Amino acid sequence: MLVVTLLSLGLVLLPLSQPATTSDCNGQWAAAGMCGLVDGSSLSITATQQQQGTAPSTDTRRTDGGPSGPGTPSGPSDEAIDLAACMDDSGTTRCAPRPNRPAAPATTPSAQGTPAITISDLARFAPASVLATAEPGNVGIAGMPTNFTGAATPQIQGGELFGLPLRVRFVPAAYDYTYGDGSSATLTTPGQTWEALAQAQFTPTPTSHVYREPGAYPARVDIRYTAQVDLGGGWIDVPGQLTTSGATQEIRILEARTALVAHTCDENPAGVGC
Amino acid sequence: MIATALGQLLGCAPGPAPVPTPTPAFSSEEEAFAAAEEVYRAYNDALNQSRIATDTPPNPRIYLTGPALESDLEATRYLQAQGLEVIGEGTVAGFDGTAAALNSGEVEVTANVCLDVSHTQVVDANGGDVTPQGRPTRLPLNVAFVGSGGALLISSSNLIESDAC
Repeated sequence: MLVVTLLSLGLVLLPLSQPATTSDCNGQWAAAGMCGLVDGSSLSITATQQQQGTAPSTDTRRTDGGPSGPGTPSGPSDEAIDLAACMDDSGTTRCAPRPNRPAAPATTPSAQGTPAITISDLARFAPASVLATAEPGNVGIAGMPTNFTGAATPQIQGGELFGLPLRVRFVPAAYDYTYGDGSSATLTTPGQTWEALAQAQFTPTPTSHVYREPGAYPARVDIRYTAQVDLGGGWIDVPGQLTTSGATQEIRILEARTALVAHTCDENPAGVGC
Repeated sequence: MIATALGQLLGCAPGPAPVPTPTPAFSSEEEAFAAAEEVYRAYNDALNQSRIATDTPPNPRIYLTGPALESDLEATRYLQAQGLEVIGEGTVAGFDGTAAALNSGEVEVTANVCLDVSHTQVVDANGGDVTPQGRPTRLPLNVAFVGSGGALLISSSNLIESDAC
């Protein structure tokens, strides 16, 4: 398979294509469009990198036998590269000649300037809500700390906004807990289990809450995220915060009672607590 | 007399010693296909998760072996060398078991998988979208699994070029 490299003024162009004879295809190749050159359509990724005078070291997508060494400054024409990329091992060209491609699309978004993006524009990229969970098993004991373990992680999503491709990064900034007993709290710490904190059960944690009375409480955690967008020129902070509302989770608070007993349950099956 | 007959009925009477038979890992093709699908979906989930920046991204390679593992390593090296990154999620749009060889020692399962990558993008080091225009987004794959015991691993994944899904 041919992988042709062109070195000119330090600009390295790598038209790469998947040969028809190799059908190896996995999730990564598929996403990169490197599987399935089936019906004459030509697919290539043209990565443009400024690498002064050095040949790429690992430009080896199936370079079985084909010339893959560094090109010369007076390399082949763009058309020749296009044709070479369409050629299979037997030298048959598998795609129709076509006019030269326009420049790589990577430069178009920044060329048009950065549109003003507000936090509300990013609402549809918002991360999924997180359920408020308390351990153990969403059950607590009145008068003792109930440990909430809701946590969110930074997320990056790709998408399109105003017709421009962009990436959005959400970083959890704060957790707004509504405990369902009339109290609420805003915490900046993600919840962790007692085990992860290496603490005994029912000990206070940065995210624990003490319910005073037994009962069933509808608890909820809303997560506030800060956002950044990348339109191709690096990460830009978007002012404001985006809140995802959590679903309600019922927390059952039980009463712990202690009693002194004189016999074991075997001896007195009708005794307190038996 | 009655006691003896009863004893034989209940299997208590001395008889020929039982011959140990090797236990197959899966009792049926369906069971093997279901296990293979579970492995493939777990791999796809791990691959998707690994594209999201987290402190402890899962390692999708734990589901791979042989040529499938080599292919994944090669793809990762290639993308890194090009300064490219895949973002978004691939979806398993279909899974059909096609064959299962349930020998006692080694199990081989093959399946046709329909992989949907329409929600993935390729971005370059500057974050620019360099997703190839017109790339196929639904790919029919022939996926092979091997395993011993109850554990299956993906051993190869090939495009079925003459097909669509």
